[in-house]
Amino acid sequence: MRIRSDGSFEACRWGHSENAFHKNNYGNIKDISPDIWFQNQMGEFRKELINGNGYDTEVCSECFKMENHGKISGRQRQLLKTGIQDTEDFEKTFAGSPWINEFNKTVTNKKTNLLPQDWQIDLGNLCNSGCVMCHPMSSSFLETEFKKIGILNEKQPTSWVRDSKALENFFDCIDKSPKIAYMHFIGGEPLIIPAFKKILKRLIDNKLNENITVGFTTNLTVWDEELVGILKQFPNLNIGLSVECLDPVNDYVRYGSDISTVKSILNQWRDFAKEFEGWLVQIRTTPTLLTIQKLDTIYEYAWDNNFSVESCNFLEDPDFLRPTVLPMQYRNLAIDNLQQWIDKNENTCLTKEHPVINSRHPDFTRQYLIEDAKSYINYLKNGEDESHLMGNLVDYLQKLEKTRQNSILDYIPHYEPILKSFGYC
Amino acid sequence: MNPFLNLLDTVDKTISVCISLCPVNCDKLPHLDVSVNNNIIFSAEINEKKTLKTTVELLEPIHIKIISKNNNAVVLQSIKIDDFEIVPNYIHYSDYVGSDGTAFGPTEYLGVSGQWDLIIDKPFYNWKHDVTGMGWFLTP
Repeated sequence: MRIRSDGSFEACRWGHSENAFHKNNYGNIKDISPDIWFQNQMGEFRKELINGNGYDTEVCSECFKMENHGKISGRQRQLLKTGIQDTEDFEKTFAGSPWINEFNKTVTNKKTNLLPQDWQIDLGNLCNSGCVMCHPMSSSFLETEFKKIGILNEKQPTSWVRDSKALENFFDCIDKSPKIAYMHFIGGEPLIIPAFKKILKRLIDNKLNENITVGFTTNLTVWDEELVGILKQFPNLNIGLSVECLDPVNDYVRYGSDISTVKSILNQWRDFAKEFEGWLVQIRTTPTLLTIQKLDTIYEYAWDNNFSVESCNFLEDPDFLRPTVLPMQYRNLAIDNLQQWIDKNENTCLTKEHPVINSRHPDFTRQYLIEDAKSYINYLKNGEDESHLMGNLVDYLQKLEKTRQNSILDYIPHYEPILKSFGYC
Repeated sequence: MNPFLNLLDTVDKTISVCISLCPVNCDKLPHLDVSVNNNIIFSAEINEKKTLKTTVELLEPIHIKIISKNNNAVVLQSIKIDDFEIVPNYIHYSDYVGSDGTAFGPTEYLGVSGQWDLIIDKPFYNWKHDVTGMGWFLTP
């Protein structure tokens, strides 16, 4: 389950936030302990899933969209953690899953007494970057900037980690959850959020650091020696490194970052992680129409270092930044770059018979990268034409550029004709 | 009626086990006892490649035991469990001990009298999840 920045609960870290299920079922850690929400309110969602109505809840729609284009989804990854494979072995792995009794309980309206084992925890929106595809709930930088340029009036909700009752509720749930397997922290930027250290220290005090895997996603703009010292006490760590491409356009998209610093910190994590057997580095991307043409640079770096690349989904919001907003002639440029990268590498990697769902297995990482790159080609070739949103893109970029004093054309000059045709000046 | 739980009524709740063996020397025929979960499925000399088939329950652990009795060599050419091939990539989960107590370790070559075992100590698909690197396997 997930705790969002404002403290509200969500059933799934991969799920679409605006959905039919949560509309009537938001709970908040400021008011209620996560275990109570998990065991009671979330039961309704579990029941929809086991009844085969996941898609209708709208929580799962993003995952189905990914699967339609051959991209491994969070739904498939989470199923795999219960031993269920979304392959031709589905029926037998389902019947053999140790979770069958729990599924039965859900169907017969019996309350579970289980506690969450796999968490995503949003620590609040404190962030030193203003990524163009992010939003004020996840970036204090954008919150301030959006107010300045007049596209946001309201103050974002205070982060739950600043609420002592909420923190108490959180620790109370953690302390009584001996089977926690994974906790992934995002921000804002976790490395500059004081509560991140506080929570990690609490996990160490309770000796949970020895058994659980902690993960976090950082924006590669900061390095904190004190925090690194704390992280060393976690034998199992997943380090998610956010970067869109290894090209200066990354500076435009992930505003506040500098590509030379990003590369330096990226390599620093890479080299540091080698010292710990249980530390895993992954690259986290959110491909947009501004970076899709350089996505091959990420695959190349990941290939060379045997890192996987993960995205939560094909970008949903803001819609005008989706790669499918590009007219086909521009999409083709990205397709060609990805195809060239695939052609160069495809025959050199070990191939499993089935698509790789567990991208974290080092033996299959490169096959996964090839399959992931192919899913973007599929998406670019077959995704619905959304070029009618170009005008909204131009409007948004120009508002940002006015305060940022920059221009997208300094980074992607060949977009000039299309941007100008929609009023960019 | 639940679309998923209904599968429990219709899914094939058996696992197929298919073992192919071949004598090394046709002049020295091996005598073998082959059992799966203590059910003997073969007990005789083999004079040519032989394929033995049986099934076990879906949630049952699996123990394949081969006792070689007369010092004549035999090779396990293939062991397929629900079409998942054990030889050679997963043969390291087997063990072979000669009748004199010599530990040969994992192998598909049974050169002398002894006992060869493959023990899958949990439901097959749970085991397969682990050995094929599927990552975390959470339990309630």
